[in-house]
Amino acid sequence: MNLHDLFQAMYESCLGTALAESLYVYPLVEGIHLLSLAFSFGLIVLVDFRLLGIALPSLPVGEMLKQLRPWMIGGFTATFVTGILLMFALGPKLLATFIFPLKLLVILLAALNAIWFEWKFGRDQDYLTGRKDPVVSAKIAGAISLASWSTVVVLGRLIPYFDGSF
Amino acid sequence: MPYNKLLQLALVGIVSSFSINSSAHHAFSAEFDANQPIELKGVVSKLELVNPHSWLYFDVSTENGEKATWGFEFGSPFSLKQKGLTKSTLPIGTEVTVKGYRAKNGLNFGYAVSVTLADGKSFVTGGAPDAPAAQPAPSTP
Repeated sequence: MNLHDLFQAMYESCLGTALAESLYVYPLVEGIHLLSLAFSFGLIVLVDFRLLGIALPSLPVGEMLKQLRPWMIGGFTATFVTGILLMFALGPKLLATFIFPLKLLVILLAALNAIWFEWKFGRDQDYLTGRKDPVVSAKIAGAISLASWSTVVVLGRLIPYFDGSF
Repeated sequence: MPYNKLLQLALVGIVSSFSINSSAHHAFSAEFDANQPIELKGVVSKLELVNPHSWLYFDVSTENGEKATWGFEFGSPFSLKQKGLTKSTLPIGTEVTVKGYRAKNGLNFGYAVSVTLADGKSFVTGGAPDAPAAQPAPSTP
C-alpha cells in the first residue's frame, strides 16, 4: 500500500466521509486545529526566544520548560489529533501538490530537533538552572525550532492556495 | 527595546507578504474564466458533497455520440444546504443542466452558478464573492 492508497482509504472510511460531509464538525475541527496552535506553536515560540536569549532572560530554561511543558504537550496533542482528522476529511488531494508532504517532512525535522534538545540538555542541570547560559548549541536548536515550526504553520496555510482539486 | 521592535516589524512584514501573495485563495478568478460562460446538460455520475468545496460530476453526450465527464465546483455542504441542495437532490442518474464558468486550464472542469433539474427546479449555487454569478438571481419556487 502506497501513501496515496492510504490517504484514499482514510478518505473513504466512515470517519473520513462523516467529517468531509459534515455541516459543522469540519469547520469546528479546523477551528480547534488553529486555536490549539496558541498552546503548541505559541508557547514553543516563547521557549525558542528564551533559548536564543531574546525573551525572558531572567527565567531559567529548566523552570520555563517545567512550567510550560504540560500546556505545550496538551497544545501539540490537540493540534496533532485535529490534524489527523483533517487528513481523514481531505484525503488524497492533500498529496496533489508538494505542500503537504513538505509540511510533514518539516514536522519530522522539528520533532527530531526537539528530541535532540531533550537528549542533550534534558538533564544538564548547569544549563537548565541558568549556571551555564548562553550555550551556542541550545541557541541553534532554538533557531531550528523557530524556523521549522514557522515553516510548518505557513505551509499548512498554503495547502488550500496550492489546491490540487483539478 | 529597538531590537524587539525590529523583530516585530520583520514578523509583521513576513506575515503580511504571505497574505498578499495568497490573496487568490480559492477566489473564482484564480481557477475559472469569467469570459467563458458554459451551459451543459448531462447525467449525474458522482456527487462529492464535501468540505471545503463540493464537486458534481456528470456525463455529457458529445456530438459524435461519445460521453464526456465534466466536474463542477460548488460551495461547502453547509452553504449548499442553505440553498436547499442536499445529497438527495442530486442522486446518480439525475438529469441536470449546469450553468457556470469554465476552468482556465481548459479541461472538463467548471465553477457552477446554477443547477436545474429535469422538472425545472433550479438552485443558484454560485457563491465566490468575485464570481460573476454572485448577483441577484431569479428566485426559485
